[in-house]
Amino acid sequence: MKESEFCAYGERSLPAYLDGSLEAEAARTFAGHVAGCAVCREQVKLWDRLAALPVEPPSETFRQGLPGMARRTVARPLVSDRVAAWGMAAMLALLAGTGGYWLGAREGAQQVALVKKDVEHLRGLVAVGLLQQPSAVDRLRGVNYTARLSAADEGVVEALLTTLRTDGSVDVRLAALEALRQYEGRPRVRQEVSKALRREDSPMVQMVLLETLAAWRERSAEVELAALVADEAVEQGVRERARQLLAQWREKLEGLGLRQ
Amino acid sequence: MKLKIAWVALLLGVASSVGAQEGETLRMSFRDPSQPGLLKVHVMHGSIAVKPHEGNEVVVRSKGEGANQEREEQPEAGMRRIPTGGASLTMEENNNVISVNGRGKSRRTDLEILVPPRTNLNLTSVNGRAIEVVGVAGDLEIKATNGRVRLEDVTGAAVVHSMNGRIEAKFKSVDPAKPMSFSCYNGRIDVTLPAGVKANLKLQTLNGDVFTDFPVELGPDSVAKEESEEGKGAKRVRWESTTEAKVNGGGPDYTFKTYNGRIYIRKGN
Repeated sequence: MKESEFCAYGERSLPAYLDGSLEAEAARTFAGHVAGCAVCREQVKLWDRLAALPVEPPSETFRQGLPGMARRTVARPLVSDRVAAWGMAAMLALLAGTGGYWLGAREGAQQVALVKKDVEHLRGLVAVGLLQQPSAVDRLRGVNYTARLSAADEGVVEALLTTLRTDGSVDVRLAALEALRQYEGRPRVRQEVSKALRREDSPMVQMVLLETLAAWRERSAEVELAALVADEAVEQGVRERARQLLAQWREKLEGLGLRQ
Repeated sequence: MKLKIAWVALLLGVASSVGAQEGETLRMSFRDPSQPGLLKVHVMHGSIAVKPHEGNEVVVRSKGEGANQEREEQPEAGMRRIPTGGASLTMEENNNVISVNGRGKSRRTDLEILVPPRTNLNLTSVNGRAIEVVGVAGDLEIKATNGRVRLEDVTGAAVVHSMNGRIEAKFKSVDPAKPMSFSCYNGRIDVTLPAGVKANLKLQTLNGDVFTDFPVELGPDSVAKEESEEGKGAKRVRWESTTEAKVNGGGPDYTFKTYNGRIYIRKGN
């Protein structure tokens, strides 16, 4: 963590300040500090925003799906258990609207400090939660939410890849693909986007996948492109674009003397 | 878990052989009417038209056969068609989700559906002429493969994809917190939004143009460019670049993508 993102005073006082358990005098002093400290201001703003999100009573589906969702979330390797637990607590607060979970913060001042550290993870978990909603509008919201994360963890990237592979809505898959473009530097993302070509059945998504691979100059996707060109069931325009791209790449390699 | 299943039309083929043109009517209520339910409809061959009504139940009227008769092969003189199942329609309710499936092998089943005014919809038609929704409020997810999509006087948010037909949508009002997306491979997208809508438009079209009568504030990189592969400073414009524009100061993302077709974004009332 960068020095500028850390405030020791806030680290100590924020949890008590947020749940209103600071002495009046200490609360005033801390409020004064918050006004002048960008780090703490950001924290308070975040928690206020989380608290202000509209809450809906949990649906039967949500209640039934919760244990599974928790398992899936906790299972993600790079999300620590603590963060996952926190994410779940926050999501419960958001979705179930039971302030009790939120006030659970009181019990773990240290945990709040961890949340501060992993605040992006928390946001990511909210996004991942949205990606699993039955409504395409909500899933789209989840994808757009991930685009605002400054650095998503593996859990979020994996969730986006899963959305690209399996989401039932063309629009949500397109949005996931767009969100994944910022992770162009990750070999796994490039590889999965290449593989998605073969699985995808919508010409619209196929076309955007091709343009993405073209922009990335992802030449390892040649096999996938060739398969697309050869597949007569694939839409004509898509096959043509794949053929062009393949020819361009091969020509370039020949120009460099790398191919006979 | 409560699960109701209604089977209908066992043999629309039989119905047609006795001359019936109208199909069946199915009715079912959402288990929890205090919250908007989700109606999922999937038909292989046929159109879907959804309208609101006063009641709390979902009413599905199927109109099989008639409209499609000219397309069917006429039997030779003296020959009769033997019914082999034809279309079938199922309807079930589970956790406030009502699912309607019409999986006719080849015969067309057009559906006319009445829903409570606030209902979330998820409608899919593969070979229907059109999917139409008039006057419903909710999250609307529509997917048409070979037909057009028309939303009229709707409220809420929509995610619409059509492969080979135009998309036309007129919103009475929108949900200010929710994003929307419209995508069309071969066809025009024509969306009318309330004049006061706050949105971030994300626009992308290859063989077409975008038109709007909203005053828009174009994003700084509204035409994304990048260095050419040779790095000699040459610029090229890529299709995959998205134009961004804010309407009324910006809001949730509204994405519009076409491959072959124009995009119209109109200012409504």
